[in-house]
Amino acid sequence: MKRKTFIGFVAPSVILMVALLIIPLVVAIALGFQSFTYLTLNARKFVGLENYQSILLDSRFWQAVRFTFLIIVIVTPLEMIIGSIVALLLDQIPKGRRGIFVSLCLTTYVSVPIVAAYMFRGLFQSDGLGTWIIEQVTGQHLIMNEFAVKMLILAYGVWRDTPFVIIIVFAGLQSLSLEYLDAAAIDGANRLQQIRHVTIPHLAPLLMLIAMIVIMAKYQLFDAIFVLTGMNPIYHADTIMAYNWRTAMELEQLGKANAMSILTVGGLMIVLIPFLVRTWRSQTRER
Amino acid sequence: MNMARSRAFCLLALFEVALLVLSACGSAGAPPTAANQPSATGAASQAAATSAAVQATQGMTEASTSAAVQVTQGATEAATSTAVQATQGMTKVTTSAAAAGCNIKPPAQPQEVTFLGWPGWDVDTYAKWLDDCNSVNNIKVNVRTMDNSSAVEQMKLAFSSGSASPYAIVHQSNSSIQQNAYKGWLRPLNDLIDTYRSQYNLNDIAQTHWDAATFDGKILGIPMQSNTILLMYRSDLFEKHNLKAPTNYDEISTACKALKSEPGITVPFALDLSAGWAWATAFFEAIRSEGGDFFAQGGNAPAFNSPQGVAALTKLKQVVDACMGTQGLAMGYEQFQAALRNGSVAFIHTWADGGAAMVDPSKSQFPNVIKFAPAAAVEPGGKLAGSAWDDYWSIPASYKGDPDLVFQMIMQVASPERQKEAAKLGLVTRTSVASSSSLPYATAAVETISKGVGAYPKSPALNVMETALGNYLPLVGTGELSPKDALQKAEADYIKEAKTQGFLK
Repeated sequence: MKRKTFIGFVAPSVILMVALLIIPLVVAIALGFQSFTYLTLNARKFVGLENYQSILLDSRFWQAVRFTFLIIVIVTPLEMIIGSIVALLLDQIPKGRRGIFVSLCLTTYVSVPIVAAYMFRGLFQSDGLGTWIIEQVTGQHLIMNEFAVKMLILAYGVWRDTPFVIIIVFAGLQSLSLEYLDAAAIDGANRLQQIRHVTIPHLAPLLMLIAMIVIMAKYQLFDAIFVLTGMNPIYHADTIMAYNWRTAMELEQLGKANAMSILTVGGLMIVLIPFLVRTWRSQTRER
Repeated sequence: MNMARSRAFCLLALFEVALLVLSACGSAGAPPTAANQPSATGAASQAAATSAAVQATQGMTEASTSAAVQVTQGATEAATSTAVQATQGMTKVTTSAAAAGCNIKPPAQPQEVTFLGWPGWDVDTYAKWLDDCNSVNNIKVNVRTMDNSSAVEQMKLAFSSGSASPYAIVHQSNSSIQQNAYKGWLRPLNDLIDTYRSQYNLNDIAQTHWDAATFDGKILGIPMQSNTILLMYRSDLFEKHNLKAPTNYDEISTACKALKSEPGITVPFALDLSAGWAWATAFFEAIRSEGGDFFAQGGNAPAFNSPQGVAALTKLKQVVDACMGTQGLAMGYEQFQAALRNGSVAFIHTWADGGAAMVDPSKSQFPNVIKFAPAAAVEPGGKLAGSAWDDYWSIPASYKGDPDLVFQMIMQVASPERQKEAAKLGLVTRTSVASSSSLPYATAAVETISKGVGAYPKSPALNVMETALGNYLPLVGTGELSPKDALQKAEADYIKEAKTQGFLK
């Protein structure tokens, strides 16, 4: 390809990325070293690493970090397992009937996140179906205390995003040649063994990618917190994003909020490094 | 179809049915928003409106993850605008009235006038009248509504961007007007008020309303409606248990003990303690009722960590324990107003403008037995723990259109004739109209305002104080902090932040 043609193809995306990602990121880094509120937007004060120091000494920030990681650690595996099982079931039924199941699977996922959060909260209002089921099963009245609200947030994560896993895994299953499964069956493998030794290795790179996307989504969780907790501090259920919102919008500490954003982007990269390394290795091995 | 496929089919069908049922039930029970700051509107917000606003907020937050506030604000506003229009739509109220409803001279150049506010009886009604001005040549009116806290955020984003305000008229409460006033984001209206004082009989609006909107001599908003806290109760249950409408917090606790056993009552009494801001508001009313205050006289120094503050918070905790419990603490005012209407709560301390729905047979199961009383005092004989709130309409300082025209449009809505109609729905600010109100709660509201704790304090540091209080007071409700500890921690946080922001030396 000629150099000019190459530049012509690449330039638009490079310009867009620089304008929408790189420049704002650099400015955010710069603002993270300043102290200002909405009142002093034009009188910003350079404070060096003070914002970062303040964040690292802020117990509420660490509480938010802990809860965010709790969501990641619990919800991600649940979504992966439930989503994969449903995708495997979906793969078993005749092609002509899959469409309706696939579309139904997507009902929660295609909803606007905040609307989905309200729908989910509706289930656990005093007259909601979820409340009724819990009361029937446990014989206890559902009280919205810290434990209950945190459980609801975890459940919301699974309820909302599992369809994403289903769809992607199901798409991955379509690329698995039946010949491999037939060969395994001829060798005496039962259905579970076929999944363990043929299907899962085939899907491994895809599952890794899904896990990364799910982790990133959980890292950015805000809407469910906003709706399910009403930002009430008694639930101690701020995620990193919710606390970032609180810092920017309630406390109006915009410099600190920017510094927190930079720290969280860095934190996310650290979380994703093992996944990125494994994905890179598996890709290079395949080549 | 083989056995394995049949099993898969059945399992999937079960999964899908469960998913659908849950979605449908969730949708049917979708509640209104919980996140609202107090306003004179005290209005029920709309999930859809919140949806757009929260998306916008989330957009802003996400943007700040990778971008600086200044750089992203433009993009955020554009995204916000799109989100609001797409998801929520511009709440354009169709008008049945003719140009007679908007008697102003058509401008020479086309003018687009956009209103931003939050829903409530006032905006729902006033917006229709504002919309009448669409029939005047060269005027295009847009009305955008979203829940209070989202609207306040939109204002922050729009006004801090440095560019022209997309809004010509912005809805304000006693709380939000302060945030905007001290930042210089609202246009002083003194010149326009002087010009039109006699034409629109502006002396008819009591001075107390103007005072609450005046900062350093600048009037920053037109008082459009007033509000306060009332006690609303089921008179049938009170009569059954031989109770009178409580006049202080001890009587509230006593009534709760009697009403707890009443069939169908899940929470005997509720006041809004569902969020940090709600605690700050309730605490303000309680501490003023006890004779204390948020700020020391004439400055930004905190005064809430005082014997009166501890006493006020102790009484609030006593009410929580006797009446509300964890379940009551989770209920916002919209929820417990609905609960009183459907019979699961026996009495509530809440915004007066929720009163109309209580006696509306189409909205309430007990329209004939729900009665109104003035807000209770914290201690017997103390000031009533109900503050006086106003809602204002203001013009942003960065609005580049014709403020004279916008002012006249506001006056079309605030005219004596319009206010007479509005007075059938809520408390208005024109003396001539308010004094002849036939609202069932008007007497109780007037008594609360006259014997209550007055208006919210004015201070550029109020937002910092509310945030500090909002972080710790809710933990008193759950028993994690004692009143004394909570106030000490809130005071320490406030002093630290107020010093950082230059409000304290």
